[in-house]
Amino acid sequence: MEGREFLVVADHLMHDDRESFLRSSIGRSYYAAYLEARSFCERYLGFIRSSSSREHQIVATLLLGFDPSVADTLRFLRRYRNTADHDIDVSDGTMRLTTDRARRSAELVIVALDAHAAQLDAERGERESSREG
Amino acid sequence: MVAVANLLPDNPEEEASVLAVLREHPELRTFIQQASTKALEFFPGASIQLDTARYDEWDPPLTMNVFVRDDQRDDQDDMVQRRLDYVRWLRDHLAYPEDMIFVFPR
Repeated sequence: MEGREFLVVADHLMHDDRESFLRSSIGRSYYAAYLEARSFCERYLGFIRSSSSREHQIVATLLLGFDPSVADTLRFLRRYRNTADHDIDVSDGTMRLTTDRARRSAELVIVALDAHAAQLDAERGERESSREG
Repeated sequence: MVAVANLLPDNPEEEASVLAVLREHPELRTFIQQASTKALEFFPGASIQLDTARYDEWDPPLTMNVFVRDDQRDDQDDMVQRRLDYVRWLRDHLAYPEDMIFVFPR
C-alpha cells in the first residue's frame, strides 16, 4: 500500500460535513503526505526506519535540507492534524477550511515528491548509462 | 513593531507559561517582534498569539500562531503558497530558531 491511498479516504470523509468526519479527514491527509515523504526519504535520502514516533520529526528535518517548501508543508500538515485530533474548541467553519487546506497541502507534497523522484531516477539512469557506455 | 505583550494568551495560566519560556529564552523576544511585524505585512488583518501547547515531545517550547483570515473564495494554492513564502522569509532573514519556536500561519 502507498501513503497516497489515504487521500481517497480523506476525500470520502470530507464530503460529510459532520465535524468528526472533517477532523478525521485532516488526519488522513497528513498521513498520506507523511507516508509518501517517509518512503521518499528511505529511497533517496538514506533514511532508515526505526519504528519511533520521532520519525515524523526526522523525516521533516531531512526534507528541510532537500526541499524546504515540502518540509514546511509537511510540518504545517502535522500541526493541522494535531489540532484536529486534540483541540476540540476550534470552530466548525475553521475546521472546514483546515480540511480543504490539509487536503490540498497533502496533494502538493505528493506531487512535489513525485517530481523530485522522477528527476532523481532520470539522473541515476543517465549515470548508469554513461558508466556502461 | 509589534509588542510581545500584545501577543500573550488571554488565559492567565497560558500567559504565565508563555512568559516562563520567554524568561528562559529572552533572545526569542526580538525574533517574535520581527516575525510578527512581518506577518502583518504578509497577512493583513491576521491575529497573532503565542502558545506553549506541545502535541509531541519534540515540539519546540513555543509556537507563534498567525491566524490568517481566509474564506472559501480564496484560492487554495495561493493560501498555501503565501504561508510558505512567509516562513521562507523568516528562514532567509531572521535565522528562524526552529528548535525554539514554531511559526504556524494557520
